[in-house]
Formats: sequence, structure tokens, C-alpha cells
Amino acid sequence: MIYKVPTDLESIFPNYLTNLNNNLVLMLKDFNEKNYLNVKKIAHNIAGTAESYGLKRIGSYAFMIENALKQEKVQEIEHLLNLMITEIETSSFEYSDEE
Amino acid sequence: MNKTQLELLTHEKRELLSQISKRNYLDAKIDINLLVVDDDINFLRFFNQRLNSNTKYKYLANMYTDELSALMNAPTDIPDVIVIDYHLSLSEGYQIGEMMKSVLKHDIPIIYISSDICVMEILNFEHVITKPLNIADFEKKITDIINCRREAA
Repeated sequence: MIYKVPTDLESIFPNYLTNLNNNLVLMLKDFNEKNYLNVKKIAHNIAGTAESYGLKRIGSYAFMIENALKQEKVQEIEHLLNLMITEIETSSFEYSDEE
Repeated sequence: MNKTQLELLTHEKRELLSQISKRNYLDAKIDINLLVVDDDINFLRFFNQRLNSNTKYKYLANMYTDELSALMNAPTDIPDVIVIDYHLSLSEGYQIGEMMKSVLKHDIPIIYISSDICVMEILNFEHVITKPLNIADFEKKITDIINCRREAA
């Protein structure tokens, strides 16, 4: 998957990607420690921002994680976390204003 | 200076005055002083970037990741519009909005922002925008607020 990041965000995107990876690590740790409230909070923030940076599918995974937590479907979250991490690790990013 | 020269000068002044009166002040960028509270630094960076891009208004934004700093600093630079994320770390955005109104003692419009569309619909706030934020939608909201204020004045 090649994500197209809006060109006007070029100066802030590397920082965002670092923060996103840090947040994923935090989310995994919190999930392992059953701190589901923290997982929900991080997922909520990712869901609200990822699409703005052009990462629509990652935002959708985060949104699904948040919803799964609201519905207390904890077993689904592990699967969604795996999907989201694989998505980020196998994706590349380029700056473009094309949809 | 003879009478003709004086008449010419008067004519020139009249012409200039006429040009000035025809100037479209709506083209000039209006300064909007914003106070933004969102606990997601990534969102604030994105928002700040978009506010500084090709926007209709010129924004002066004070941004805070925590509600307490926002509350403490708000009275020193009274904003025109407040933008608050509905889901903050320590509280719900609505509580902070009410506290802001109380601290500032001004009727300042508050735009609540959230990715949770359902919650925003249920709460029925006067000004709401959803994430992912679209800067055009945000500016439309600002225009609505300005027009509303002008009508009330």
C-alpha cells in the first residue's frame, strides 16, 4: 500500500509517523496489561487524525478498535491491532495531492 | 496656484475618495484569534499547518494539549472563537467549555470537535465540527459565526 500524504504536511509528517509508531507500542503495552481505557483513548486519537494525514485505512482500523472496546469485544482487538501494525510496516508513503 | 489648478486638485481628491469608497474591504483578511484545546498533539500540528495554509481568514491560534493550561492562559489573550475537542484527557470538552465561559466572562462562541459523530449529534451543540477535520468546513463555520455576530450587533 502506498499512502499519499498531502504535500503541505511534508514538514510535520515524519514527526507524526514517529508518534504513530510510539502510540502503537503504547497501545500494545496497554492491551497486554488490560488497560483498555488507555487503548481506547489512543485508538480514538489515531482515528481522529490519521485520515487527515492521508492514512485513511489506518484511521479505520483505529476506529474499529475504539468501537470494539466500546462493545467490550476484546478478542477482536488483538486481530485489529495485528492488522494495523502490518498495514503500517508494509506500507510506504509519498507526498502527493492526488486523491 | 490658480483656480484651474485648485479645481484639478479637488477633482483628483474626489477621484481618490471615490476609489477608496469602492474598495472591497471584504477582500481583506480578518484576524481571528483562536484558542484550541485538544490532547492530541498530532491533531494540533495538523490543524496549525492547515490554518497557516491558503485560508480565507488570518488565524492567530493559541493551542493547548491540556485543559488546565488553556484555562489558566485564556484570560491573558481573550479569543474570538474557542475550539475544544469533546474527549479530553481529564474531562469532557463540554465541562471545559462551560469553565471557559465562566473564566472569560464573555459570550465567546465555542466549536466542539470530535471524531465521534453520534455523540456530537446527541449533544446538539450550536457549533460542531467532526474529525477528520476539513479546513473548508471549519472556515464555513467561522464565517457563520462572524455573520451571526454581525446580525446580532
